[in-house]
Amino acid sequence: MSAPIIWIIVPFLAAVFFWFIQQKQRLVFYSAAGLSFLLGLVALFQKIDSALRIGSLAINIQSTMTILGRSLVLDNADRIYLAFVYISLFFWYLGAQAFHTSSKFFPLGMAVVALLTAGLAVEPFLYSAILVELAVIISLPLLLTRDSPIGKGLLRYFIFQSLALPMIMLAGWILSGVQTSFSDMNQLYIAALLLGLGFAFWLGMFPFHMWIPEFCSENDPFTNGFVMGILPVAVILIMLDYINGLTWLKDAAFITPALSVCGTLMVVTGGVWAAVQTDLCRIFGYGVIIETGFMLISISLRNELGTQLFYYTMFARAIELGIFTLAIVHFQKNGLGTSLADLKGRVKVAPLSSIALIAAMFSWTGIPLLASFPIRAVLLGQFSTAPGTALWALVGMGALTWAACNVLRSLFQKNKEKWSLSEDTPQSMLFILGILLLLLIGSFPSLFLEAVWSKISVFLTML
Amino acid sequence: MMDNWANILPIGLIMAATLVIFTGESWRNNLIALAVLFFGSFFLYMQQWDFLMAAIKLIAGWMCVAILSFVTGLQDSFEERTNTPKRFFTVVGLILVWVLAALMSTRISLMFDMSPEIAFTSFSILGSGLLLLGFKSGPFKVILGILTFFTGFELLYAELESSILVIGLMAAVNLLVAFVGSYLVTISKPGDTE
Repeated sequence: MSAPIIWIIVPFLAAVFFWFIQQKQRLVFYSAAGLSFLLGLVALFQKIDSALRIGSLAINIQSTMTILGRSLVLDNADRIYLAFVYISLFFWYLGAQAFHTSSKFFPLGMAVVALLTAGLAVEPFLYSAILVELAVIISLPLLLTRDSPIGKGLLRYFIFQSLALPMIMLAGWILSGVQTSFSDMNQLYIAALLLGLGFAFWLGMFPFHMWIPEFCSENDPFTNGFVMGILPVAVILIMLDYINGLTWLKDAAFITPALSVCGTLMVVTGGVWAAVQTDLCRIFGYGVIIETGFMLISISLRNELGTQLFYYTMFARAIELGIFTLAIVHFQKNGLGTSLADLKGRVKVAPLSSIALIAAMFSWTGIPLLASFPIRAVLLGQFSTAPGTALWALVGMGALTWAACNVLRSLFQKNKEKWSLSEDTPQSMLFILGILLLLLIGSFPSLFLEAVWSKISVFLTML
Repeated sequence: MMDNWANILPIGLIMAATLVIFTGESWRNNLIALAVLFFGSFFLYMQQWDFLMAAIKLIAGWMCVAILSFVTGLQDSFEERTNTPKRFFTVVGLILVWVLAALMSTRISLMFDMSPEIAFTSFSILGSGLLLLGFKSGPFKVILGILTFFTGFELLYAELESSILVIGLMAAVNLLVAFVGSYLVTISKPGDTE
């Protein structure tokens, strides 16, 4: 038994099976949620390249699986990603059941996660571009509903993700050819340029980011939240694999400023544009851009602290995006609207989703006592000697705070409605869990984040 | 300069096909042009690979066309009425892409050690696909644009890498794009399939 069989082949085959029995929604929900939770737990507690003991049975879990001369490799350094992605998927499944999302979410969600994991695991790495493209194509039916028109955002999402494929494959081919000798610097620079363009298309880096808010405002907010929550994290990890796997690229002087400048631009443009938006879905889109920007700034530090901050951001971001998405879904499904004009006084009819929305937005902005505060504080503190990045990031965060205040003002505006709770029990539990996690991480960062890091640091080979 | 003058025929076919894809107003003409594009590319693939592998590319491409035609044929019309100045402008754009591809082809062929006409053809298909994605916004044209763009890239990549796995995976990507494209086309006009 190998790790790729457990975390790639099994979930992919399960997804195919769930697709054919998706009419039995309750069965599919329990099976899919159970499987994803189990896979997450196994990733967290079971070492790869050692024996898995179930009673008297001992199964040796190898890190490598070979298919047609290529390898899928999942080692101990990947376990934190595997645990993160499968436990996140479990929570998305809970949300899907609580908010009555389409039954196709269960099989397609699992297939997308399995393919993205394969993209991270495959060697030679140029195949990761094809696997990510396959994940993107499979995500399209997930995002489409028969009763909503196809918007430009969805088509642009497909176009930009597809444009990345040739860039990454060509760059991969050039780099695999010149890795042994660095004599032709021109080819190396072309490869770096193609690689940069490919990742810019995948992540929606400035100036290729305009499809993200459009995409988020057009489609089903739940599936948008899922795709935007999982895809950028997987792509950044693939990017780290590329950077760390190529000696020349790892040591290149331009990597740090390039990542830092791209990240800062994403934070500033995302924040400023979010400040002038009047729709929650579009604000969510800009929030995704800002979070990706902060992850890029974290990895631009190129040290242990940067890796630590990247993983913290990954966890905080998952909670923030999750409860923000669920709040938007709740507003939409109850006919409360998502524009700031529609939200006036809605805290009275949807108190928990309103508070979740506010908590997620203020956590993004780095307000004290919420999850992202300690992460942002430490991250921006690292730029004390070259304060340009920190100052520009503060501009973006300030603008996002303005957007959060606008949402807050709308939600708490006086109206004649009476206080009521429109969220049912499972929905309320998810909102309360999300808000509590944001508050606990923000209030006791050393307790939570240090505990997480002590686990992560065991797995990771540092940058 | 061309390495092989016999390539003029498939290159001419490919350029005519991209012109039709670019300016064609009926879905039928567009799909026939896409099939011709795959047919022209097949002759160029044969100079790099053996017949069997080139045939795989041709069959996968034609399967894409078939998948798209089954669904698109059920829609009443995809004709986009474009006025003459707009059509003139798009044709000028396409010619500029071809000129750019011709200018780049010598350098690209030296860099990647490939024949200049294949470099020219792949870059002109790639550029046409990009231009189509930039100009058109309907689901059908976007899918055609992505398939055209991928065809250009695959032609270029065929010179560099002849791995069967890459060919197979790219064929799977193309077929999935066609499947998703047909789904997009179906739900973009749901009433017309009745």
